[in-house]
Amino acid sequence: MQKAPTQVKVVLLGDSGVGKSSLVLRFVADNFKNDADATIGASYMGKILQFNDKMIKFNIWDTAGQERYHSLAKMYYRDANAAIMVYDITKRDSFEGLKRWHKELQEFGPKDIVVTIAGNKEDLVETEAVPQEEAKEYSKSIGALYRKTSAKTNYGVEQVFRDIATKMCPDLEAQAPAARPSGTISLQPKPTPAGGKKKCC
Amino acid sequence: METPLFLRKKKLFFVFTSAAKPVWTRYGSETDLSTFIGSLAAILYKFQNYYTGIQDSLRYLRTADMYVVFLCTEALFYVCISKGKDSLESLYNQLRMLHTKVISTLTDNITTMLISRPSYDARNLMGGTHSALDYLIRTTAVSPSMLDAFMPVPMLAQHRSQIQLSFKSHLDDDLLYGFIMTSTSIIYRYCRKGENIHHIDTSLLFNMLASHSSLRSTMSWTPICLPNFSDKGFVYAYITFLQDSQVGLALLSDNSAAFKNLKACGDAIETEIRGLLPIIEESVKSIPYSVSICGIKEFKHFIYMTKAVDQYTMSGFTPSTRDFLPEMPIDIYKRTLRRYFAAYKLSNIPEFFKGNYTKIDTYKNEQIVALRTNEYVLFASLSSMLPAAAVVQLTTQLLRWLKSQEQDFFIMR
Repeated sequence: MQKAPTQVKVVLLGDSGVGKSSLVLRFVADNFKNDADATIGASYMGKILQFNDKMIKFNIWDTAGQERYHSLAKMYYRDANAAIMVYDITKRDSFEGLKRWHKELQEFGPKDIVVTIAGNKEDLVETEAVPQEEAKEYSKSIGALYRKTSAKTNYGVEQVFRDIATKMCPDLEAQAPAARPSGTISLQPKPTPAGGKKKCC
Repeated sequence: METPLFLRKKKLFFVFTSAAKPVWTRYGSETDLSTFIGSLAAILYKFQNYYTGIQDSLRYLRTADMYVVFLCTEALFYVCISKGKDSLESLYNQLRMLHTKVISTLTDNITTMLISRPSYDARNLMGGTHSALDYLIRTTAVSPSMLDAFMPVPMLAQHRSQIQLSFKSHLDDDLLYGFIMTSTSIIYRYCRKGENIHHIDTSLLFNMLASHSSLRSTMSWTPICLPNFSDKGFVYAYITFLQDSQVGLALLSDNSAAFKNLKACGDAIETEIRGLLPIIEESVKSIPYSVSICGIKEFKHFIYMTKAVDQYTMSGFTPSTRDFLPEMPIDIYKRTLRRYFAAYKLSNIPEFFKGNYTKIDTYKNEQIVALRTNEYVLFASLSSMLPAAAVVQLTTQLLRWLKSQEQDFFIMR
């Protein structure tokens, strides 16, 4: 019997035009728009991913990148389980912007938030402005996961979310369906033991 | 010197700060325009210096084929250069709406901030709003903005009250305002008991929904400042579209943490009005409607507004989409609208308006009637061949018919 999925609240942060909404659209609806309109405020979408015998429901808050919305982002990441900080690999500024976002998360975000950095627009790798090594180094230095993505070509998108799930529930991948003792234990792993809210959105 | 490309456009709009820093421009890039905007600002200051001590500033400049209109607010300056035939009043209304939209985007805190730091570069703050501002300009250019009202779609009162019922049976303490709208029309509006909702705030929300396609693809929780509710901060809008439809539901709250509650409330309303979708879609398609529905063949066009609900309705043309029927081509409509403006103008002067105002203007190809009382405003266009007595009699007949249809034309309380 299927259990109710574990709820994971994910928030996307990053400068405007880096492709946050496109990543979400690709992940949730497997769709891509070339002339996507700027997000207003924040939009919400949900998607369930299946991991062997376990389901994770991602409640995704995609925030607007425009400067005037920065002060409002807190409202969305305050009680998030994970943050995806997105930059555009062809725009140096958008990478620099991550540092500000990270600082803010450290200051106001939940202590145990899982942070992932997504270097988006991998399809434009020819005009890359941020060396991958540097991005990886930075991710490591702040204890974040790192992945290159392309919402356009669907490169690495779902993997970003799988990474988050694995990091939050380390037993996910290891847990093979057959290995599970029948109906005895298998309590839902608690990735946020410090009383962090798991129900979200 | 060669004229820059942007200056050849018919209607230009500029927004800048008191330090002549560009904030927004309809055409061209703000950077290329800095010299031009600098000169506009210089003209303003010269005149302001001239008027030192008097609370006034330059209002407009006029040449043979051009108006340059200025709107000075505390910290932001708005300029429109129009080579079209728009009246001064309608250009002012457009500039005022533009200012309202800026406040709606940034709250009035921008004023405080720019007063203390006039050279602050506010361009980035307006990022991503170009399409909304442009849409605002396009729609206000053809709206009867002198009416202080908005236009809902006509719908049988019994259907509209079914929507009303679904709102009333799922109220939440956090719900301040609620709307059913598409990107082209407003279908229903709810307002918390004891609160009021201003028609400008209604139009601002509509403008946001109509001009940002990103709102249509997902569920959003979005801040918007409704200046007539409060210009000091944001209210929050939960916006979603009914599955597989163009019909949107917007629920607003003054509590920024109300998303969950409003979503639950929205889900319940959505389930209930799902059955009404075909009716809603049908009513959206019903505009623009032909003037002939009034059953009086002498009329070419009418606009009718009721103060009690701050709504208007008009035949033949829809300002929000600029859609028109063959009976009212856009150029003819624009001309008629200018004539309505002209006929209405005097009614704003207390000596001419003592609770009742009637004006009939005769042109070569039409007669314009403008009626204004404390309850309603009526504009109509009739054939120029009719004698005055007939015009009066037909107008009375039209008025009687419109009054009898109010329940279907408007969103009643």
